[in-house]
Amino acid sequence: MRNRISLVIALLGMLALSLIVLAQNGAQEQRGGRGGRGARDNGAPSPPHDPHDLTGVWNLAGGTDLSLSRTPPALTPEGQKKFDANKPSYGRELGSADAAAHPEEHISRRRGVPPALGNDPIGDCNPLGWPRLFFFGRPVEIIQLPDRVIQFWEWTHVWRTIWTDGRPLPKDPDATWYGYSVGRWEGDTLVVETAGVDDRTWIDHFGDVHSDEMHLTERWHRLDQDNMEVTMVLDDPKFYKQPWVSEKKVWRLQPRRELREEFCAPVDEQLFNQRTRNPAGGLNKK
Amino acid sequence: MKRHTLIAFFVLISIALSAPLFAHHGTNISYDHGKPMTLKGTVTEFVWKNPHAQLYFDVKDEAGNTVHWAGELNSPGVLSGQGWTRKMFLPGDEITLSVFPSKAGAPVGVVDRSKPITSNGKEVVPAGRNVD
Repeated sequence: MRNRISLVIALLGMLALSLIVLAQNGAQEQRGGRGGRGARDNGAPSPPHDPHDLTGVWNLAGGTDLSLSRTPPALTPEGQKKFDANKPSYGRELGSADAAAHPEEHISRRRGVPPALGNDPIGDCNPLGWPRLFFFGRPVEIIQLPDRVIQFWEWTHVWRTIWTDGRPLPKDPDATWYGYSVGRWEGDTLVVETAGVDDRTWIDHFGDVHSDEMHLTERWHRLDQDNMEVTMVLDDPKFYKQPWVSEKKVWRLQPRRELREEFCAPVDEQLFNQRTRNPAGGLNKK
Repeated sequence: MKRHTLIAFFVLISIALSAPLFAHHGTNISYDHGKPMTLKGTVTEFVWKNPHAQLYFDVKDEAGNTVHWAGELNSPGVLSGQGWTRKMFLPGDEITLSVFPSKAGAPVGVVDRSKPITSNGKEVVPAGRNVD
């Protein structure tokens, strides 16, 4: 009986703590979290802004999940085969008590292996691809020209061109790491469509997959001076039984942030892998 | 019984609070976060390169043998935002730091940022948090 009382007390304690943590996360989200330097904490009204001007340095708000959402749609047999071949290092460790304690989570979040034993393309500094770069948690600087929007991404020092001159998406584009993108304004929302992303790239850190037929629609909406909301819909009937609709992602303006040069250079990564990553994972002792 | 209840309560709280810190970081799967180790050694090299800075140092074990350790760190971009510099550690510096060691038993660890790092008797990195 006493044991039961102890268990109930402990569970109630955990519940209370979870609520506190959730409340803190919510508060952090309001403040802007890691991307929050541009957010106004003092309650002052946001200055006027042009909703069709996305120019500036932006960062993903804290507390944001690292994929479209935590649970992808059901895979087709072909998609499942590719998903099963991926060995990510993020999420809970495959076979661990931690993973076993969370059967409610999608398998992509509980199949992590040490990087030395995985096959994440970024382990050799291969391109992240689109949309994985979006979720990486590093800032982007957006520049607008009359016929295009250019996004300069700090991590791996890559840029993405979104053509806004009215051209359609190519019908059968060559595969490229970041695909081909066109955009148009629908009211105050920039709607971006992307196709032709190389199917060797992962959707996210968790080894979620896409085929060569992925069609991604993003909606970028500047809510006020400091905040931008982005949602995505991933259509890929070759790999998924339904479209994958993202949760809302909030980006914060970073007025004082200067983008750094952040290449991932194979020459440096190879040395790191030999000297640190591989021995840490039990491969080729130093 | 009351004591056991309290112990169980605090153990569960610790697990509940610590899990989110390490839930999403790929590299951490290689390391045992339940066994932090404090090491004293002599710096042999400080690599200030993307995507991971690395600190290499020699540690004398109990038998007097020199063991060459590798300490994994975050990227220079993240570290410089926290006040680190590429000249923070030089070969020959005597350091004390805490690491979470490799589960595979190799002398490799990810640096435990919740503890301060001292160099030549001076605290050069204050205690922080183990986040990305």
